[in-house]
Amino acid sequence: MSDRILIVRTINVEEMGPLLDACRSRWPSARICVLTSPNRREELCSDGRIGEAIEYSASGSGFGSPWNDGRDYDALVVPIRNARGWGYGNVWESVAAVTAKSFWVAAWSHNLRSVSLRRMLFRARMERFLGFACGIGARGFAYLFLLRCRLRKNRKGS
Amino acid sequence: MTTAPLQRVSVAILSYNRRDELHKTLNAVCRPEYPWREVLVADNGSTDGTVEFVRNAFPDVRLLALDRNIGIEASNRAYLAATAPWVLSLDDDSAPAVESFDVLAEELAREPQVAALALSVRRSASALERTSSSEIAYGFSSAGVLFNRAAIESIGPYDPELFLFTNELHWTARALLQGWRIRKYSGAVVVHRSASRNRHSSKHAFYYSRNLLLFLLRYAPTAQKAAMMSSYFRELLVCSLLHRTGVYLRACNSAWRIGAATREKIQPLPEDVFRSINPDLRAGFGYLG
Repeated sequence: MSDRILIVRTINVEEMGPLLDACRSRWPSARICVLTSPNRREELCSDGRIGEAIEYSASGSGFGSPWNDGRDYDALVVPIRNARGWGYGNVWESVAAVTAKSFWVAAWSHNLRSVSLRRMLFRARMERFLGFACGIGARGFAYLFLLRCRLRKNRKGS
Repeated sequence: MTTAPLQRVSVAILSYNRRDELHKTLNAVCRPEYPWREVLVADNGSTDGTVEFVRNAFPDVRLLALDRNIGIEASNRAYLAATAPWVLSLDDDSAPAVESFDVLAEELAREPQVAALALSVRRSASALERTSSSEIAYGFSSAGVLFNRAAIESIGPYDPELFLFTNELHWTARALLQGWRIRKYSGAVVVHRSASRNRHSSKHAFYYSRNLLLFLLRYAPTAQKAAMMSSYFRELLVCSLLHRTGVYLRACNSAWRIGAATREKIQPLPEDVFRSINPDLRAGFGYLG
């Protein structure tokens, strides 16, 4: 296993600094690779703490399609903007095939916490199910919302 | 640097409870190299001594001291109070980084149909590759944009009911619908320090989600409006469950009321224009709760 860690997804510069510092203190000699969108790559390359910025190209915004560069990593880190890690199912599903010795979330983008890939993928499936279930109610609500505005218009017009 | 071009620019800064950040910004703006027509600070009723500080330390700054926080309406007042034909809008934590604003003002004179010139807003001034080209854009940030005052008068200022966040998105839609253009000019750089204070809270999530819903309601193309709103509602519902918060439901409720009350603002954009604006429809933006 090579001495290399992978940070999956990028966050803003203020949060990226503490995240890189946290990674550097846990894995002092590791080369830090960051998987990022093409438009952030140049900006990341200029940061001396980042060893490699890898482009993740997806059709839409955010993660969705599977990604794996075939390399082995010491650790895979997903920075999250909450404490528990909910809401990042698509990210975990995208990198599920990456070979890493350990998996981590960076709570609030800097507090490293070890997690199990299996557990995160289970959460991803739950999120998907929730999305499906909420979709039914959301569709009804959207039509109701639009109808209400139309009714108002007719009432004003009459 | 020639004096004349910058005399055609007023600077308008919105401030709220970030006195130290505003101090840095005013230090960067009020310099002899930048002979602006005037510098205005619209303070949203800060309670940290911002108003007194500006009065004492920067007596030449025109101060619009409001007695309470009225959100982006304070920016509107500053834009309309400005006397120059161009208004450089800054946040209290953003400031021009390079001395290229004279070239910029000359560029503006060549483009009378430009409603706003989006400047290159960066997190830091280092490692910049600047070009002086300008290109068509479909968005900007109030932290670094030059408004054509004639456009503000014609289009109207930001929608005051939005209060905070996505106001630029709504204004862009209105400008494009009226035939104005927005251009991005990378020759002038504004460094946005993005101070953490006031930035991450449930308020952030509330206003962002509510205003995006209103954006979809008003400007999404008619054929896709229902599908887009439904998809965004789903995101908000999922986020409410995952983060165990009622903030997104409150945002829906508020959008429900404002949407119906401001029904006359519904003006769907053509599909290609809406696609170009490309609003970020991920729920949970900025919410750390």
